[in-house]
Amino acid sequence: MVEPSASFFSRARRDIKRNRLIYLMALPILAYYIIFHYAPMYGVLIAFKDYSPSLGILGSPFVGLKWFREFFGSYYFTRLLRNTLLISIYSLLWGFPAPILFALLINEVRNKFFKKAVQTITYMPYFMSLVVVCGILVNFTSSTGVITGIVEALGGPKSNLLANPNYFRTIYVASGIWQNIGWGSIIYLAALSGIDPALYEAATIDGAKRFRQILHITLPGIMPTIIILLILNVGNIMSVGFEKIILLYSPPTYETADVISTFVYRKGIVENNYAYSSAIGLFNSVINFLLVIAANKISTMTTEVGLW
Amino acid sequence: MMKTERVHCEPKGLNPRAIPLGRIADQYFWEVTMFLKKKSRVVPALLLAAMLSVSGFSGCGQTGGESAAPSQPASQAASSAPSSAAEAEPAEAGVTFPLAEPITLSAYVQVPPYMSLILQTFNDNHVFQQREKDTNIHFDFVTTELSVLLASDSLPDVFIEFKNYPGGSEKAVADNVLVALNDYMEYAPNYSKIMAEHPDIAKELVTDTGTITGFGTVQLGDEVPWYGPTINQNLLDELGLTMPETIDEWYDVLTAFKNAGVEQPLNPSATWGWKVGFEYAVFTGAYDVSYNFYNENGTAKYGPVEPGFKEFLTTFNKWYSEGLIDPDFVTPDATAMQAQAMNRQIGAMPYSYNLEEISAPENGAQFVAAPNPTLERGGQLHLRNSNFHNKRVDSFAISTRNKYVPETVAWVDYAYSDEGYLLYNYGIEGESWNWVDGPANEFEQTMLPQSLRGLNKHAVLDFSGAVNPGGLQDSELRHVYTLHTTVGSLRTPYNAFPEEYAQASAVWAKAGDDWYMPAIAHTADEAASNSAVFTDIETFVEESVIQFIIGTKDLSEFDAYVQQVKAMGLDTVLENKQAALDRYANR
Repeated sequence: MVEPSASFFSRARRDIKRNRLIYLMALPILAYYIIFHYAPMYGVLIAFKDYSPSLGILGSPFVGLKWFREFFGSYYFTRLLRNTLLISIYSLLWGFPAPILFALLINEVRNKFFKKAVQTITYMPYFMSLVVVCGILVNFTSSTGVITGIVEALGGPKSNLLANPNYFRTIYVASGIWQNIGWGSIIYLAALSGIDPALYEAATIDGAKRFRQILHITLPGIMPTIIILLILNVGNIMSVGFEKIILLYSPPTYETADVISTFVYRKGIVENNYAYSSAIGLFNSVINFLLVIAANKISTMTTEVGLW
Repeated sequence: MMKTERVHCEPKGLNPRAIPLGRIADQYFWEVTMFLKKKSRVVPALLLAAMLSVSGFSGCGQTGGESAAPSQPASQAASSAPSSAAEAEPAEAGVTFPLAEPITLSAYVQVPPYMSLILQTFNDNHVFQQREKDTNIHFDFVTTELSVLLASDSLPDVFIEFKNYPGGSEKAVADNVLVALNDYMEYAPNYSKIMAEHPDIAKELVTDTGTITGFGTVQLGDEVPWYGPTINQNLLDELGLTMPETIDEWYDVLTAFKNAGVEQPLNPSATWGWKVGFEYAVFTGAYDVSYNFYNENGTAKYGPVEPGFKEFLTTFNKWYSEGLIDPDFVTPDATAMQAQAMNRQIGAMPYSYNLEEISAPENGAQFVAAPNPTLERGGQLHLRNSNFHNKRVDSFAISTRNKYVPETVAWVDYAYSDEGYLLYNYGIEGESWNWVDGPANEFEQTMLPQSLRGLNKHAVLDFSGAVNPGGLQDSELRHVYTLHTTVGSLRTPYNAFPEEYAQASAVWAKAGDDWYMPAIAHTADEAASNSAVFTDIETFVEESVIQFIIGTKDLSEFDAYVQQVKAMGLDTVLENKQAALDRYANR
């Protein structure tokens, strides 16, 4: 036992001595975070500078909040913010409950073979490269595609669905669910298996039917998992991944598809305007940071489950 | 994008979607490393790790060059190259080749992908080998990204194609990165001679202030257009139609195609996307606008906001709504498109003169060049695909770290001599080319340097004398034996230029190009103010134009759209363009 009165450093030294190997194993991970996540942070400096590669980060002239002002005053600002929030919120709204429902359904299936088969099939899209998934989507939603054919049969127009700004979010969110539902359900299935079977037995004896059991045993049982994942997801609300959007969008759908991260990509990597895109990225990260804190706060206040 | 201004697009090897992902990573980790270096307290191990990541990332950037070229035909062929060609050149103002002492220069170069598959570095190229023999100057090639070289303060001696420097080349001279070559022109008699003899070309080789920031890749004659509308001749014949010349005739032809069951009567996308066709005024030209900046008798204009563009959009919107235009043209798939063209699913499309790529005569799909449409028969066009004399601006620039500027200048100047013309474009006589009896064709004559004009013989690429253990095709062997366009030189575009290409070009060349925007250059301030607003404008215009065509935005909103573009700062950009145009005229 370590004396609680001992100073932090002496406690740490003793702990390191005792668990030398464990610390050694943690070292590469620590190094990874320092090198790839903390050291590069000094690069955010360029968000406040008129960055020129020949002058370097420290040598470039300081321009204060110029890039932020430019971004907030830009024609695209409201549109980017709206699209980012809407795509995120829709993804969260439809995409977050989907794996939970799926896990509950899977959990109720009694036939082992059927259960495993369904699980394996639903995991598959997750392991496909995003480029392939998007290639399939582009193909299926082209004017002669399979999905377009179905839409047409249901009375929709025969046109390139991906070129229509009204459908972009639907395609994005729906394909996201299709891709992630199986993988996302794993963690809930794991949580489900941790629920004490005795609770179900007791409920059965008390006369609770399946639905009642789900409502009063299963759901409360996996609630902490749900909350933690929700907090993590809320923290990412402003950071819609740009890869999938870049692979799917095109100028006619920018109106509903262009989000902050794709804008940063175009500004920074396509147009080499590193400073501007850093400023936008910084803005984005700050909002995300605040959202995580807020979500955690709300969660700890209401359900007493939180990340920290 | 502003950068397209002075960079000329080649029909081959152009890939606008290629994204230099390695670049930002390189840049970033280099910065981190430099920062760590300055902080002496940082653990050495950390520094090492950061360094490793730097090399790891630069490695990614050049895998194309390293993994390729399983066999090395170039180096093997080198040993058998005739050594007689190494004769001393005349003394040129203090530099005599070969140099008494060999020197080595480091040269920044990004070998184009189509060459990096064949050559590991330019040292495998016979022209470079020959020049090294003749001059005693050896090049070590640096392939690190330019921004990384600049950030790490380790400039090479020479830049082979200096571009994308923020603020432009003149700024690079001001920033003490590039040497202004005006004072060294005495070492470049051939280049000076070209500039003196061709004032119109000389205009493209200097900046507005008359600074020579680097050597360009120069073409003496006017290049005929290599891009324009094409149409399936077999379909025309089968339906008893004649070659359309006006927009109305095009409408009739496309309607006939549609009625005959052609899936995509017109696919406006070609290989590089729909914008390219509009930029080269393939259909917009009929309305005297292009999807770009142009120079209407000395006035800089931006096509997409001109009234003519509205008329063009009205036409295209009508065509689109009647099913004459491929509904998927916004998301083109180049490979699929070629197959579709060969499969008679496409009736007409803008394309380059490489028509064999989309034709399958045995299948009834022979594409031919169609004249750029006009509004009325015999109408005069002002805009079409047109090209600069300077193919690559600053394709050979010299850095301030270079200790041998006169020697370097003399080295590159040889490329602009008559012999250099033959060496760079054709290689070594007997290996990769031979003289053929009879004068060169009409086009080629205009490209030739003075002493080669009017001869009763002309050079023709002929690889029968080439050593080719790798079994490369002629088009690939070219990159081993010749140095076509990449490094500053006097070039001919007509190396193995087939008759069909010339025919296609001749059809497109009927349209005028007098409104074409010349090779203007912006000052650093102008470039900054342009890029602050124009990229946003460009995006807005791009999406609006498509929406107008496919009908998700009604054409009655065109005026509001123009107002929005102006509100986003188009007038500033136009003022900058006008200023640059005026300066260009006064060069």
